Amino acid sequence: MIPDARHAELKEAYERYASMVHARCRSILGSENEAWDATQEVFIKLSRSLPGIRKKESLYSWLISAGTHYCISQLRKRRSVEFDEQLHGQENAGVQQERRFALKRIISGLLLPWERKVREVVVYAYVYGYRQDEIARLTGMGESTVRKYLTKFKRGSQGSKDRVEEELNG
Amino acid sequence: MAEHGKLDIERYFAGEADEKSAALTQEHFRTCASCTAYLAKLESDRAAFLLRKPFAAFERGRSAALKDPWYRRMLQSIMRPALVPAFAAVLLALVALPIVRPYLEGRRPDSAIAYKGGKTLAFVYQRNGAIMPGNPADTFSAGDRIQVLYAAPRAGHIALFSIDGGGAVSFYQPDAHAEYCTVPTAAGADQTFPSSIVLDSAHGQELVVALFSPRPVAAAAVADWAARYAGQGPRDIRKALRKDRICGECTATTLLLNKR
Repeated sequence: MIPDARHAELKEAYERYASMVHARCRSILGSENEAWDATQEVFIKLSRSLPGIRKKESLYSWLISAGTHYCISQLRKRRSVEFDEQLHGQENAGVQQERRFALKRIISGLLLPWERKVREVVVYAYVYGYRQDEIARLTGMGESTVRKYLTKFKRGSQGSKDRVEEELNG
Repeated sequence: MAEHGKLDIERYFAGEADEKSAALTQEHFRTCASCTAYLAKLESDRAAFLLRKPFAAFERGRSAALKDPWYRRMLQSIMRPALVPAFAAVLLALVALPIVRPYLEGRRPDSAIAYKGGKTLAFVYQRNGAIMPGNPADTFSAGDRIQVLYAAPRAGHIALFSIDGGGAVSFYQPDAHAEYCTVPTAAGADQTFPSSIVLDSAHGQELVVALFSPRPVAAAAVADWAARYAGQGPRDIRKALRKDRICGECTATTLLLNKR
Protein backbone atom coordinates (compact mmCIF):
# COMPACT_ATOMS: atom_id res chain seq x y z
CA MET A 1 0.00 0.00 0.00
CA ILE A 2 1.36 3.48 -0.84
CA PRO A 3 0.22 6.76 0.72
CA ASP A 4 -2.54 8.67 -1.10
CA ALA A 5 -0.36 11.63 -2.10
CA ARG A 6 2.27 9.38 -3.62
CA HIS A 7 -0.43 7.27 -5.25
CA ALA A 8 -1.83 10.38 -6.99
CA GLU A 9 1.65 11.41 -8.05
CA LEU A 10 2.35 7.95 -9.42
CA LYS A 11 -0.93 7.91 -11.32
CA GLU A 12 -0.18 11.29 -12.88
CA ALA A 13 3.33 10.17 -13.87
CA TYR A 14 1.95 6.94 -15.32
CA GLU A 15 -0.65 8.70 -17.42
CA ARG A 16 1.88 11.21 -18.63
CA TYR A 17 4.91 9.03 -19.34
CA ALA A 18 3.97 5.34 -19.47
CA SER A 19 3.20 5.30 -23.20
CA MET A 20 6.65 6.70 -23.99
CA VAL A 21 8.41 4.29 -21.64
CA HIS A 22 6.46 1.42 -23.19
CA ALA A 23 7.42 2.50 -26.72
CA ARG A 24 11.08 2.72 -25.75
CA CYS A 25 11.01 -0.71 -24.11
CA ARG A 26 9.22 -2.22 -27.09
CA SER A 27 11.93 -0.89 -29.40
CA ILE A 28 14.57 -2.78 -27.38
CA LEU A 29 12.68 -5.92 -26.43
CA GLY A 30 10.65 -6.23 -29.61
CA SER A 31 7.55 -7.56 -27.92
CA GLU A 32 4.39 -5.92 -26.58
CA ASN A 33 4.14 -8.20 -23.57
CA GLU A 34 7.74 -7.84 -22.55
CA ALA A 35 7.52 -4.09 -23.00
CA TRP A 36 4.46 -4.04 -20.74
CA ASP A 37 6.32 -6.07 -18.10
CA ALA A 38 9.22 -3.66 -18.36
CA THR A 39 6.94 -0.62 -18.12
CA GLN A 40 5.38 -2.03 -14.97
CA GLU A 41 8.80 -2.70 -13.47
CA VAL A 42 9.91 0.85 -14.21
CA PHE A 43 6.83 2.35 -12.55
CA ILE A 44 7.09 0.01 -9.58
CA LYS A 45 10.64 1.25 -9.20
CA LEU A 46 9.36 4.80 -9.58
CA SER A 47 6.77 4.28 -6.85
CA ARG A 48 9.59 3.32 -4.49
CA SER A 49 11.88 6.12 -5.60
CA LEU A 50 9.45 9.02 -5.97
CA PRO A 51 10.40 10.88 -2.81
CA GLY A 52 14.08 10.72 -3.77
CA ILE A 53 13.76 11.86 -7.36
CA ARG A 54 11.23 14.64 -6.86
CA LYS A 55 13.89 17.32 -6.97
CA LYS A 56 15.51 16.05 -10.13
CA GLU A 57 15.15 18.16 -13.22
CA SER A 58 13.52 15.62 -15.49
CA LEU A 59 11.41 12.67 -14.50
CA TYR A 60 11.40 11.65 -18.16
CA SER A 61 15.21 11.25 -18.15
CA TRP A 62 14.95 9.11 -15.03
CA LEU A 63 12.25 6.91 -16.54
CA ILE A 64 14.04 6.46 -19.85
CA SER A 65 17.26 5.59 -18.09
CA ALA A 66 15.55 3.13 -15.72
CA GLY A 67 13.64 1.56 -18.61
CA THR A 68 16.74 1.22 -20.76
CA HIS A 69 18.78 -0.45 -18.03
CA TYR A 70 15.93 -2.77 -17.17
CA CYS A 71 15.43 -3.80 -20.81
CA ILE A 72 19.12 -4.43 -21.35
CA SER A 73 19.19 -6.58 -18.24
CA GLN A 74 16.22 -8.51 -19.63
CA LEU A 75 18.07 -9.10 -22.90
CA ARG A 76 20.92 -10.52 -20.91
CA LYS A 77 18.68 -12.78 -18.82
CA ARG A 78 16.35 -14.03 -21.47
CA ARG A 79 18.32 -14.38 -24.66
CA SER A 80 18.95 -18.11 -24.31
CA VAL A 81 15.35 -18.88 -23.36
CA GLU A 82 13.75 -16.71 -25.98
CA PHE A 83 15.35 -18.52 -28.85
CA ASP A 84 13.12 -21.50 -28.30
CA GLU A 85 10.00 -19.48 -27.57
CA GLN A 86 10.33 -17.17 -30.52
CA LEU A 87 11.51 -19.50 -33.21
CA HIS A 88 9.79 -22.68 -32.27
CA GLY A 89 6.56 -21.47 -30.70
CA GLN A 90 3.54 -22.29 -32.86
CA GLU A 91 1.95 -18.88 -32.46
CA ASN A 92 5.14 -17.06 -33.36
CA ALA A 93 6.08 -18.95 -36.47
CA GLY A 94 6.84 -16.86 -39.54
CA VAL A 95 9.54 -14.94 -41.26
CA GLN A 96 8.70 -11.62 -39.60
CA GLN A 97 9.02 -13.19 -36.18
CA GLU A 98 12.35 -14.72 -37.10
CA ARG A 99 13.58 -11.44 -38.48
CA ARG A 100 12.44 -9.61 -35.39
CA PHE A 101 14.15 -12.16 -33.23
CA ALA A 102 17.32 -11.89 -35.32
CA LEU A 103 17.32 -8.11 -34.82
CA LYS A 104 16.82 -8.58 -31.14
CA ARG A 105 19.69 -11.03 -30.98
CA ILE A 106 21.86 -8.58 -32.85
CA ILE A 107 20.98 -5.83 -30.41
CA SER A 108 21.74 -8.01 -27.44
CA GLY A 109 24.80 -9.64 -29.00
CA LEU A 110 26.35 -6.32 -29.90
CA LEU A 111 25.40 -4.46 -26.77
CA LEU A 112 26.01 -6.83 -23.94
CA PRO A 113 29.82 -7.02 -24.12
CA TRP A 114 30.05 -3.28 -23.55
CA GLU A 115 30.15 -1.42 -20.26
CA ARG A 116 26.92 0.04 -18.91
CA LYS A 117 27.47 3.66 -19.96
CA VAL A 118 28.43 2.72 -23.51
CA ARG A 119 25.37 0.50 -23.81
CA GLU A 120 23.13 3.31 -22.63
CA VAL A 121 24.58 5.80 -25.10
CA VAL A 122 24.37 3.28 -27.95
CA VAL A 123 20.71 2.52 -27.24
CA TYR A 124 19.87 6.23 -27.04
CA ALA A 125 21.62 6.89 -30.33
CA TYR A 126 20.80 3.88 -32.46
CA VAL A 127 17.61 2.46 -30.98
CA TYR A 128 15.82 5.60 -29.75
CA GLY A 129 17.30 7.92 -32.38
CA TYR A 130 18.44 10.75 -30.10
CA ARG A 131 21.07 13.21 -31.22
CA GLN A 132 24.39 13.41 -29.43
CA ASP A 133 23.52 16.72 -27.74
CA GLU A 134 20.24 15.19 -26.56
CA ILE A 135 22.03 12.14 -25.18
CA ALA A 136 24.38 14.46 -23.35
CA ARG A 137 21.39 16.25 -21.78
CA LEU A 138 19.66 13.00 -20.91
CA THR A 139 22.65 11.34 -19.31
CA GLY A 140 24.45 14.35 -17.90
CA MET A 141 27.60 13.33 -19.83
CA GLY A 142 29.56 15.78 -21.92
CA GLU A 143 28.96 15.71 -25.66
CA SER A 144 32.57 14.72 -26.19
CA THR A 145 32.08 11.71 -23.92
CA VAL A 146 28.98 10.67 -25.82
CA ARG A 147 30.91 10.99 -29.08
CA LYS A 148 33.82 9.02 -27.62
CA TYR A 149 31.53 6.17 -26.52
CA LEU A 150 29.82 5.99 -29.90
CA THR A 151 33.15 5.94 -31.73
CA LYS A 152 34.45 3.29 -29.37
CA PHE A 153 31.36 1.17 -29.99
CA LYS A 154 31.51 1.58 -33.78
CA ARG A 155 35.19 0.63 -33.90
CA GLY A 156 34.77 -2.26 -31.49
CA SER A 157 31.74 -3.62 -33.32
CA GLN A 158 33.31 -3.47 -36.79
CA GLY A 159 34.10 -7.17 -36.70
CA SER A 160 30.44 -7.96 -36.03
CA LYS A 161 29.20 -6.22 -39.17
CA ASP A 162 29.52 -9.28 -41.38
CA ARG A 163 27.75 -11.43 -38.84
CA VAL A 164 24.94 -8.90 -38.62
CA GLU A 165 24.47 -8.82 -42.40
CA GLU A 166 24.61 -12.57 -42.58
CA GLU A 167 21.98 -12.83 -39.87
CA LEU A 168 19.68 -10.30 -41.51
CA ASN A 169 20.03 -11.74 -45.02
CA GLY A 170 19.49 -15.25 -43.80
CA MET B 1 13.13 17.88 -37.07
CA ALA B 2 16.45 19.51 -37.89
CA GLU B 3 16.48 22.11 -35.11
CA HIS B 4 14.30 20.21 -32.70
CA GLY B 5 15.32 16.75 -31.71
CA LYS B 6 13.00 14.00 -30.54
CA LEU B 7 13.89 14.68 -26.94
CA ASP B 8 12.71 18.32 -27.15
CA ILE B 9 9.37 17.21 -28.51
CA GLU B 10 8.99 14.40 -26.00
CA ARG B 11 9.73 16.77 -23.13
CA TYR B 12 7.33 19.32 -24.56
CA PHE B 13 4.72 16.58 -24.87
CA ALA B 14 5.35 15.44 -21.29
CA GLY B 15 5.00 19.01 -20.04
CA GLU B 16 8.61 19.17 -18.93
CA ALA B 17 9.77 21.94 -21.26
CA ASP B 18 10.27 25.30 -19.57
CA GLU B 19 8.27 28.29 -20.76
CA LYS B 20 10.90 29.55 -23.16
CA SER B 21 11.65 26.25 -24.88
CA ALA B 22 7.94 25.39 -24.97
CA ALA B 23 7.29 28.63 -26.86
CA LEU B 24 10.16 27.88 -29.25
CA THR B 25 8.86 24.36 -29.82
CA GLN B 26 5.34 25.62 -30.51
CA GLU B 27 6.75 28.12 -32.98
CA HIS B 28 8.72 25.33 -34.61
CA PHE B 29 5.60 23.20 -35.08
CA ARG B 30 4.15 25.87 -37.39
CA THR B 31 6.84 25.26 -39.94
CA CYS B 32 7.91 21.67 -39.40
CA ALA B 33 5.60 18.94 -40.63
CA SER B 34 7.76 16.07 -39.35
CA CYS B 35 7.88 17.44 -35.79
CA THR B 36 4.13 18.08 -35.84
CA ALA B 37 3.56 14.56 -37.06
CA TYR B 38 5.82 13.19 -34.32
CA LEU B 39 3.87 15.13 -31.68
CA ALA B 40 0.60 13.80 -33.10
CA LYS B 41 2.03 10.28 -32.98
CA LEU B 42 3.01 10.69 -29.33
CA GLU B 43 -0.51 11.90 -28.55
CA SER B 44 -2.23 9.08 -30.37
CA ASP B 45 0.18 6.50 -28.90
CA ARG B 46 -0.58 7.75 -25.40
CA ALA B 47 -4.33 7.67 -25.96
CA ALA B 48 -4.17 4.15 -27.40
CA PHE B 49 -1.83 2.94 -24.66
CA LEU B 50 -3.98 4.29 -21.82
CA LEU B 51 -7.01 2.70 -23.40
CA ARG B 52 -5.28 -0.68 -23.40
CA LYS B 53 -3.35 -0.25 -20.19
CA PRO B 54 -5.00 2.26 -17.88
CA PHE B 55 -3.48 3.00 -14.49
CA ALA B 56 -5.81 0.40 -12.97
CA ALA B 57 -4.17 -2.28 -15.15
CA PHE B 58 -0.77 -1.20 -13.87
CA GLU B 59 -2.00 -1.39 -10.29
CA ARG B 60 -3.34 -4.90 -10.84
CA GLY B 61 -0.05 -5.98 -12.36
CA ARG B 62 1.83 -4.26 -9.58
CA SER B 63 -0.05 -6.24 -6.95
CA ALA B 64 0.77 -9.46 -8.77
CA ALA B 65 4.40 -8.46 -9.17
CA LEU B 66 4.64 -7.80 -5.48
CA LYS B 67 3.52 -11.31 -4.66
CA ASP B 68 6.43 -11.86 -2.29
CA PRO B 69 5.27 -11.18 1.24
CA TRP B 70 6.14 -7.69 2.40
CA TYR B 71 8.38 -8.90 5.21
CA ARG B 72 10.43 -11.02 2.80
CA ARG B 73 10.87 -8.05 0.45
CA MET B 74 11.88 -5.93 3.40
CA LEU B 75 14.42 -8.48 4.57
CA GLN B 76 15.78 -8.86 1.03
CA SER B 77 16.14 -5.12 0.59
CA ILE B 78 17.89 -4.48 3.88
CA MET B 79 20.03 -7.61 4.14
CA ARG B 80 23.13 -6.45 2.30
CA PRO B 81 26.44 -8.03 3.31
CA ALA B 82 27.98 -4.67 4.20
CA LEU B 83 25.14 -3.93 6.60
CA VAL B 84 25.11 -7.29 8.35
CA PRO B 85 27.18 -6.10 11.36
CA ALA B 86 24.89 -3.08 11.79
CA PHE B 87 21.74 -5.20 11.58
CA ALA B 88 23.22 -7.77 13.94
CA ALA B 89 23.79 -4.97 16.47
CA VAL B 90 20.23 -3.67 15.99
CA LEU B 91 18.78 -7.16 16.31
CA LEU B 92 20.83 -7.81 19.42
CA ALA B 93 19.62 -4.54 20.93
CA LEU B 94 16.06 -5.35 19.92
CA VAL B 95 16.21 -8.72 21.61
CA ALA B 96 18.35 -7.71 24.60
CA LEU B 97 16.70 -4.44 25.62
CA PRO B 98 13.37 -5.87 26.78
CA ILE B 99 15.27 -8.37 28.93
CA VAL B 100 17.79 -5.98 30.37
CA ARG B 101 15.49 -3.00 30.94
CA PRO B 102 13.51 -4.47 33.88
CA TYR B 103 16.74 -5.34 35.65
CA LEU B 104 18.05 -1.83 35.02
CA GLU B 105 14.82 -0.46 36.41
CA GLY B 106 15.24 -2.61 39.51
CA ARG B 107 12.23 -4.87 39.04
CA ARG B 108 11.69 -8.47 38.11
CA PRO B 109 11.49 -9.12 34.40
CA ASP B 110 7.97 -8.82 33.08
CA SER B 111 9.16 -8.44 29.56
CA ALA B 112 6.90 -8.56 26.56
CA ILE B 113 9.34 -10.91 24.88
CA ALA B 114 9.67 -14.11 26.88
CA TYR B 115 12.25 -16.77 26.39
CA LYS B 116 11.61 -20.41 27.01
CA GLY B 117 13.68 -23.39 26.01
CA GLY B 118 16.06 -21.22 24.03
CA LYS B 119 13.45 -19.98 21.52
CA THR B 120 13.32 -16.28 20.85
CA LEU B 121 10.59 -14.14 19.42
CA ALA B 122 10.77 -10.72 17.82
CA PHE B 123 8.66 -8.90 15.28
CA VAL B 124 8.45 -6.20 12.66
CA TYR B 125 5.26 -4.38 11.78
CA GLN B 126 3.77 -2.54 8.85
CA ARG B 127 1.64 0.56 9.33
CA ASN B 128 0.37 2.76 6.47
CA GLY B 129 2.85 1.15 4.10
CA ALA B 130 5.87 1.80 6.34
CA ILE B 131 7.72 -1.14 7.85
CA MET B 132 9.29 -0.71 11.28
CA PRO B 133 11.11 -2.91 13.76
CA GLY B 134 8.69 -3.95 16.49
CA ASN B 135 9.12 -2.71 20.01
CA PRO B 136 6.78 -4.26 22.57
CA ALA B 137 6.66 -0.90 24.35
CA ASP B 138 4.91 0.65 21.32
CA THR B 139 1.17 1.03 21.04
CA PHE B 140 -0.44 -0.61 18.04
CA SER B 141 -3.59 0.19 16.07
CA ALA B 142 -6.22 -1.79 14.24
CA GLY B 143 -4.91 -2.68 10.79
CA ASP B 144 -1.25 -2.90 11.83
CA ARG B 145 0.28 -5.96 10.29
CA ILE B 146 2.64 -7.87 12.54
CA GLN B 147 5.20 -10.32 11.21
CA VAL B 148 6.76 -12.52 13.84
CA LEU B 149 10.41 -13.53 13.58
CA TYR B 150 11.70 -16.38 15.67
CA ALA B 151 14.76 -18.46 16.33
CA ALA B 152 14.47 -22.19 17.00
CA PRO B 153 17.41 -24.17 18.43
CA ARG B 154 16.28 -27.33 16.67
CA ALA B 155 13.89 -28.43 13.99
CA GLY B 156 10.31 -29.04 15.04
CA HIS B 157 6.88 -27.48 14.68
CA ILE B 158 5.56 -24.03 15.50
CA ALA B 159 2.06 -22.59 15.90
CA LEU B 160 1.15 -18.94 16.23
CA PHE B 161 -2.04 -17.67 17.80
CA SER B 162 -3.21 -14.62 19.65
CA ILE B 163 -5.52 -13.93 22.53
CA ASP B 164 -7.00 -10.45 22.69
CA GLY B 165 -8.28 -8.37 25.63
CA GLY B 166 -11.71 -9.96 25.24
CA GLY B 167 -10.28 -13.46 25.56
CA ALA B 168 -10.87 -14.32 21.90
CA VAL B 169 -8.33 -16.74 20.41
CA SER B 170 -7.24 -16.39 16.78
CA PHE B 171 -5.06 -18.97 15.09
CA TYR B 172 -2.60 -17.95 12.40
CA GLN B 173 -1.96 -20.89 10.22
CA PRO B 174 -1.58 -21.27 6.47
CA ASP B 175 -4.54 -23.63 6.22
CA ALA B 176 -7.53 -22.67 8.38
CA HIS B 177 -9.08 -26.11 7.94
CA ALA B 178 -6.00 -28.11 8.86
CA GLU B 179 -6.19 -30.54 11.72
CA TYR B 180 -2.90 -29.28 13.06
CA CYS B 181 -2.23 -25.64 13.85
CA THR B 182 1.55 -26.03 13.65
CA VAL B 183 3.84 -25.75 10.66
CA PRO B 184 7.22 -27.44 10.39
CA THR B 185 10.20 -25.27 11.24
CA ALA B 186 13.91 -25.69 10.72
CA ALA B 187 16.46 -24.84 13.35
CA GLY B 188 17.98 -21.38 13.07
CA ALA B 189 17.48 -17.69 13.65
CA ASP B 190 15.49 -15.01 11.74
CA GLN B 191 12.77 -17.38 10.63
CA THR B 192 9.38 -16.01 9.70
CA PHE B 193 6.01 -17.55 10.34
CA PRO B 194 4.22 -18.15 6.97
CA SER B 195 1.39 -15.76 7.74
CA SER B 196 1.29 -12.37 9.40
CA ILE B 197 -1.16 -10.97 11.95
CA VAL B 198 -3.45 -8.06 11.15
CA LEU B 199 -4.63 -6.46 14.38
CA ASP B 200 -8.37 -5.99 14.79
CA SER B 201 -10.13 -3.07 16.43
CA ALA B 202 -10.42 -4.67 19.90
CA HIS B 203 -8.77 -2.36 22.42
CA GLY B 204 -6.46 -3.32 25.24
CA GLN B 205 -3.75 -5.92 25.19
CA GLU B 206 -3.24 -8.75 22.76
CA LEU B 207 -1.10 -11.72 23.64
CA VAL B 208 0.71 -13.34 20.71
CA VAL B 209 1.78 -16.90 21.49
CA ALA B 210 4.33 -18.94 19.57
CA LEU B 211 4.08 -22.58 20.47
CA PHE B 212 7.06 -24.82 19.73
CA SER B 213 6.80 -28.58 19.71
CA PRO B 214 8.88 -31.48 18.39
CA ARG B 215 5.66 -32.91 16.92
CA PRO B 216 2.63 -31.37 15.16
CA VAL B 217 0.05 -30.01 17.61
CA ALA B 218 -3.69 -30.44 16.94
CA ALA B 219 -5.62 -27.17 16.69
CA ALA B 220 -8.31 -28.72 18.92
CA ALA B 221 -5.78 -29.25 21.74
CA VAL B 222 -4.87 -25.56 21.69
CA ALA B 223 -8.52 -24.51 21.47
CA ASP B 224 -9.39 -26.77 24.43
CA TRP B 225 -6.56 -25.32 26.45
CA ALA B 226 -7.58 -21.75 25.60
CA ALA B 227 -11.21 -22.51 26.49
CA ARG B 228 -10.09 -23.25 30.05
CA TYR B 229 -8.91 -19.70 30.37
CA ALA B 230 -11.71 -17.98 28.43
CA GLY B 231 -12.57 -14.61 29.90
CA GLN B 232 -9.19 -14.14 31.54
CA GLY B 233 -6.96 -11.28 30.49
CA PRO B 234 -3.84 -11.75 28.37
CA ARG B 235 -1.55 -11.26 31.36
CA ASP B 236 -3.27 -14.05 33.28
CA ILE B 237 -3.17 -16.31 30.26
CA ARG B 238 0.51 -15.66 29.91
CA LYS B 239 1.02 -16.70 33.51
CA ALA B 240 -1.11 -19.79 32.87
CA LEU B 241 1.09 -20.73 29.93
CA ARG B 242 4.05 -20.91 32.29
CA LYS B 243 2.31 -23.25 34.74
CA ASP B 244 -0.10 -25.23 32.58
CA ARG B 245 1.54 -26.49 29.40
CA ILE B 246 -0.62 -26.86 26.31
CA CYS B 247 1.02 -30.20 25.60
CA GLY B 248 3.73 -32.16 27.34
CA GLU B 249 6.60 -31.34 25.02
CA CYS B 250 5.41 -27.87 24.06
CA THR B 251 7.05 -24.65 25.07
CA ALA B 252 5.41 -21.30 24.54
CA THR B 253 6.93 -17.92 23.89
CA THR B 254 4.80 -14.79 24.08
CA LEU B 255 4.62 -11.20 22.94
CA LEU B 256 2.26 -8.85 24.75
CA LEU B 257 1.11 -6.01 22.51
CA ASN B 258 -0.76 -2.90 23.59
CA LYS B 259 -3.54 -1.76 21.26
CA ARG B 260 -5.39 1.51 21.26
